[in-house]
Amino acid sequence: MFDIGQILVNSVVTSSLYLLAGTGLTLTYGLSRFPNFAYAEFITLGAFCGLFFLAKPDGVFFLALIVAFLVAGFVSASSYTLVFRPLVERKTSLIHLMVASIALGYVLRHSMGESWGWSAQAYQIMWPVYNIGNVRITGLWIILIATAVLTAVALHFFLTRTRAGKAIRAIASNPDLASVTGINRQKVVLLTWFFGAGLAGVAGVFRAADTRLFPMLGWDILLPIFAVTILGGIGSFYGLIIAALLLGLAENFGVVLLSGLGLSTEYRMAIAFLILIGVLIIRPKGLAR
Amino acid sequence: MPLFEAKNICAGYGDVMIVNDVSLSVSNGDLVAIVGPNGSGKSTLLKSLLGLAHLFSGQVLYRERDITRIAPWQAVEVGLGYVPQVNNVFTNLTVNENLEMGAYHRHDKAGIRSDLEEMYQRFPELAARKKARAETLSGGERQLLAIARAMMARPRLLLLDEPLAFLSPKASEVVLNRLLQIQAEGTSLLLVEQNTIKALQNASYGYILNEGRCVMEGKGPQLLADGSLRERFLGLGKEV
Repeated sequence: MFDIGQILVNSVVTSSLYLLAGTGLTLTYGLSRFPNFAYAEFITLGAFCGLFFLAKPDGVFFLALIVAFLVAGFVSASSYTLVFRPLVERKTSLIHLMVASIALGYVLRHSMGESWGWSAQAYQIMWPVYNIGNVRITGLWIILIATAVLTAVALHFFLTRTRAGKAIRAIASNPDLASVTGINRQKVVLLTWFFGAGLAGVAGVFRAADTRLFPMLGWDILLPIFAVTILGGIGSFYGLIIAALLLGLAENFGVVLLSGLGLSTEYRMAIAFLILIGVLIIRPKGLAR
Repeated sequence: MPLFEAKNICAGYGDVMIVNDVSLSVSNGDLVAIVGPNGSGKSTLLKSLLGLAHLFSGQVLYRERDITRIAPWQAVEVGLGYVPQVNNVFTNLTVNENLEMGAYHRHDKAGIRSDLEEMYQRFPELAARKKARAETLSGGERQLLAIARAMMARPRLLLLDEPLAFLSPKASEVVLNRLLQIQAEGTSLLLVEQNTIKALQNASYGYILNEGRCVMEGKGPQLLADGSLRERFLGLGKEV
């Protein structure tokens, strides 16, 4: 028997993870105009950075989040500077950029696999569990939800109140006009690649803490993250918030439906596929457009 | 000393050269018009001056400083403002945010605030729509916003790509009057325009482009009075 309160909590947890992981993807996709498949590896890299701090039960979780943010952000900014920027400047086609991102992702994924091992590992940190009525919630989930909400509020103020935030929206809206308006596009794009992937790294730590840690961690959740990004409208942060909530609800209620139909909950990921295909057919520009 | 000079410009896109050996000059306070038939290379010439089209050869000078192949975002810092023909506003930003972006390279907060107020006084149409997203504006309002956005950078020279195109006669009149007012207040204008009569009537100097080359230059009204030019290159009748 499923408890509706528990499904809602699970949905918010899933949504929070997708929001954290999807923010960087939607912002960088909006600015650079190509889907970066290596983004999955920034999530995984964050998760492996967390292992340095959380391999023992007395690890400091917040330190893991900060280091994951910085390392994932740095690798992302470096990959933009060394791989993608030269290609963009040569006016490389979208398909070539996509293939380059898949190739970079492959290199990063296998480097992580060779460095940290291919088998699943787990953080050793333990989380308190709270039971409110029939609803079970862990300390990790509370921190995850709080981090996602705080990030959303902070990003709202950043994008609407600050010079750099407005510049990001301006470039996403009209890149050529942004340039002739005096905005140094490369600088803003680089900053976005850093912060976006930083958040992906943070999402990776949460994902690994909630499940297991392995080199395919990011790749496994890349599809729902792309689904959320496309559902929300590429480049739209507010669309992303709504889309993350919708997909979180759809996945968790979908699991209940699958069980009811006697199907394996392994089909859970197929829900993201179905929603992605449905949105591409009905509203190719997403909910926010 | 001219404010702005372009010497022997050859420009285009990719390997295709569209503008061939064109030179022009703008003095302080001038309104200089570049006119010519469709496809004559007017817009490409303007874009190449700002690094938005490929410059094969030539030299661009601002107050005798060589700014050839400057990055587009640096042109604003030099003192050049640009108003594109289409896609000239940030549609998902509000009117106020569009104007703020115009002052992106500036750091004098008080100056920016007072310039914002000045723009709203100069363009009352925009003052009423401060918080509206630019995508909700009419064509004429968008053109005014694009000009106001460029003026927020306090340019000494404003480069405009067909500012009167696609506008109703009334909106076109409003935009032209605002431009003349901006010129009267000391900002020089370099204008590419399809509306030959309006452009040359008001231009201190004009250049006529045809098939990527400058075929004639001179004072605006004099060019307009030249019967053979009117017929051959401007698509106008003999009578003024």
